[in-house]
Amino acid sequence: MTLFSVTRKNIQGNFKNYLIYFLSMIFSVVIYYTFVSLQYSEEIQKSIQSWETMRSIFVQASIMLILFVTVFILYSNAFFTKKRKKEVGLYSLLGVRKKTIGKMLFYENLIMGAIAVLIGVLLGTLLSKLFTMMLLKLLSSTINVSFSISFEAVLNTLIVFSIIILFTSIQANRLIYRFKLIELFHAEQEGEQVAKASVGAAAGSIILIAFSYWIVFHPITEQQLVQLSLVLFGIVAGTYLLFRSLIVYLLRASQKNKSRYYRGMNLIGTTQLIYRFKGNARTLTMISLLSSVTLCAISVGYGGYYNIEKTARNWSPFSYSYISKNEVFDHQADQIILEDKEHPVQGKLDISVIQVNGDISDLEYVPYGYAAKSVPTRLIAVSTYNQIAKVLNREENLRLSGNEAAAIRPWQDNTFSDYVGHTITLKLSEENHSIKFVKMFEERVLGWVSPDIYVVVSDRLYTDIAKQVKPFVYQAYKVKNEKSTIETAKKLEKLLAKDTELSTFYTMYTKELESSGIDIFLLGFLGLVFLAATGSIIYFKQLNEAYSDQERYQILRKIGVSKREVLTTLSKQTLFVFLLPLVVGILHCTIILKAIFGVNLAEKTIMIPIFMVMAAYVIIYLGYYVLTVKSSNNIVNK
Amino acid sequence: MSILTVDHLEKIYEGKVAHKALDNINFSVEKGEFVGVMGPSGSGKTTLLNLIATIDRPTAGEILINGKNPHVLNRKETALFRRHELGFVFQHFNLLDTLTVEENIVLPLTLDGESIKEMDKKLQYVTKKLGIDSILKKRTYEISGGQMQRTAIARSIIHKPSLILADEPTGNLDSKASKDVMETITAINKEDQATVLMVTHDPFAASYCHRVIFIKDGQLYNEIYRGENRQAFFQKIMDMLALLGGDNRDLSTVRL
Ligand SMILES: Nc1ncnc2c1ncn2[C@@H]1O[C@H](COP(=O)(O)OP(=O)(O)O)[C@@H](O)[C@H]1O
Ligand SMILES: [Mg+2]
Repeated sequence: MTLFSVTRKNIQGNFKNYLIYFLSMIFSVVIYYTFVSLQYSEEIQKSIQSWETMRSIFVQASIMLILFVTVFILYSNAFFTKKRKKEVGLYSLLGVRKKTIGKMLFYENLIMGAIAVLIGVLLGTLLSKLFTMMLLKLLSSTINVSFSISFEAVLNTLIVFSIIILFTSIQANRLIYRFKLIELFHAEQEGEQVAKASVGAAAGSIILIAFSYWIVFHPITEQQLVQLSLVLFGIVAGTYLLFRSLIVYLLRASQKNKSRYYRGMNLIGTTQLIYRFKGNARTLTMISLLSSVTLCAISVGYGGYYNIEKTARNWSPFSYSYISKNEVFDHQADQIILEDKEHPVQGKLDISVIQVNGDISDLEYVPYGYAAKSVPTRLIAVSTYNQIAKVLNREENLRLSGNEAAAIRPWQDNTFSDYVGHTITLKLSEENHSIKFVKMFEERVLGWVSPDIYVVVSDRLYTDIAKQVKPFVYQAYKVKNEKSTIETAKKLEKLLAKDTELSTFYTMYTKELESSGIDIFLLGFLGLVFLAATGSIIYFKQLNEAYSDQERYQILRKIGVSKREVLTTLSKQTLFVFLLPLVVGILHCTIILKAIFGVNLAEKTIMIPIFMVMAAYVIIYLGYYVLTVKSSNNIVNK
Repeated sequence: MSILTVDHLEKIYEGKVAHKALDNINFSVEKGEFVGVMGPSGSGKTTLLNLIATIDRPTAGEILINGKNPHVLNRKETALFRRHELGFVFQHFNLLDTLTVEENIVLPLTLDGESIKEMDKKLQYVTKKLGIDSILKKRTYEISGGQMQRTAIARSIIHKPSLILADEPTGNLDSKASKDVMETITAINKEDQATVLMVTHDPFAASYCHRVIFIKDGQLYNEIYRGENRQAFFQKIMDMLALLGGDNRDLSTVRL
């Protein structure tokens, strides 16, 4: 029997282990190569106007990917190695020289790595075309994507992976020297020390996490960096202690409840978990932190993307609106809009507006470039406002009388101040007229102009002022499917002159789309990779456990535990291991979102996308759970 | 009353070459009996035990335990049957290293949802009897091989099974520990009328039995009774083994 045939037999025998390791390497290469080739893609560079700033974002993201890919490969390598320690021990026992074994392991890893890189680059080429198309679509670019292998991307990938693979190969080579024979045979017993749960550490974890959450809401220092570091330190250390001590402590405490503990499989489940937690504290910490980073990243990206429509609608509440100049143009525009059968008109309004100068010094907000004493202010009659609200599906039945007025928050007002109770003075030619705000709207009604002060006044006041200042009229249309009104929007732009303040929802929407397209793409890409990583890491981990638990479950089967009972306890244990880091991750993510982005968690428009991201994440994550339970069950319940 | 009846039992391992591991085995074990099974390596001892233990299914023939045929039960019922009617002692102790000695012992009771009080009572009783009541809180890697095997025995008898099956219970023990374990089994057999079927290659261990059944190449070869004198019985067993020939000792294979 030559060493070669032994090796071949071993690969056949351990095919599953090899496959898992090999696939993880391919996965890493595919991800990395795909991303890097996006970075070098000319099509993308052409489609992004501010490429220079974008490039640095891409580079940062690719550094994160390198870190991630390294950890991931090292992780699956460790998993693979652990499975093979006995085999290596046997070679040694059979008298194969250490040097030969070392060499064999070295070349084996190297060759597997090389093949993985080759396959990875090929798959990555296909994938990168797909992703390029996706990105260009997000950017609404019309450039065609060609099939090409980017030389720079290949080189970049080669360098990164050569280093990683060389490192793991050397580690594989050292394996035989690093351990005594007996240790190689007892590989599975490693890290199985009973977890000690010190009350101090358990309490410490709660204190650390609570502390960092607390300072998120009550900053203790002005310095952002110090503040952020404190929060991060608290969260990371607290989470680690949580998994290392608190959970074990709680599980131990649950053992005290004898009648529950000594019931059915609880005894087995609880002790198994306690046993596992200490050895897995680092992994679980990593997973819950990865989860929260991923969730944050996608939430932010998706939040922006989700709110594009809202933002665009605030820029341009109507599908089309412009200031009427003469009947001929109005008629032509009307024709264009009516001809567009794909976008039937849902509502059309003539909106009469008066512009006067106003003294708004009583308000917190002053438009940029204006003095508060004299700011162009636009007035709308309350009956007109109610018509608008109806067409725009806003439930408002506003009533105003005398000097009462309603404010509409200007687009650039970030003061969050309430205008109600404040007064402004309208400067009319005959006399000045003070009006008092009794109501405030956050949603705007007409296309954006600068300055952007719209005030709703009573019909009576409006007619009075109209006698002094001539109103002008907006033609405003609301059509169905306004996101795709590209042709009509273009035609209107051609037809109507600049000073008509033409505003189309479509234009605003596409503009927003482009700017958040790249964000969501990058964050989504990283998020996806991280999700795959977290899922795979737990999957490996659990499979690994399943292998070392095999014998225990066989014993249980022999003393009369049914397969179903084994499956049940296995599902419960696995759920615990999956759910805990996820719940902790979601909690952290919520707080981090608050800390970094000052997200107002009560606001619906932000909560919905975050909730959706979390739901999607949980669903995919649960997919991993089901897969893990199935695979583990196959291992222990044969 | 016979606790175990084995009737025309046959086991063929299918494979590239079908192998008849057991051929027309008939015997029965009475309540309170302590029976040994011996034979050369590969003669089918473990196979026999596995069939009785419902871990494997016979190709033909019937096994009745307490008048019931476990092989006609469905999977769930089989598990329950194993749990209630059988107790196991293995060469490799088969204790869970995640549990303490106490937890290992009460495991069969927890599976059946016994009350804590009952559990405690039974635990006290068996551990006193087996002399392991002082190590209850220890973990399995903190105790000696003999203690481990006695723990395994305690687990196998705590739920008062109809039949205790032991496969090479002294296989991993030195002679002093072997003696302890065999005396323990003898004691529970005598005092609690436990019925025991034990596979062994160790003539010393076998000499504690009332009766030893010899099998060779899957067939019943002979059967000898102890009578009064253990020393004489031991000698008879040695003679029979010599007659049987073959390698009596199971090779401890390198297990990968
Ligand atoms: N699972 C199996 N598949 C095929 N053959 C088996 C299997 N288990 C045991 N055998 C064969 O059946 C015969 C009896 O084995 P076994 O009952 O283990 O013998 P003993 O325990 O007496 O040494 C042996 O020849 C063995 O090779
Ligand atoms: Mg055997």
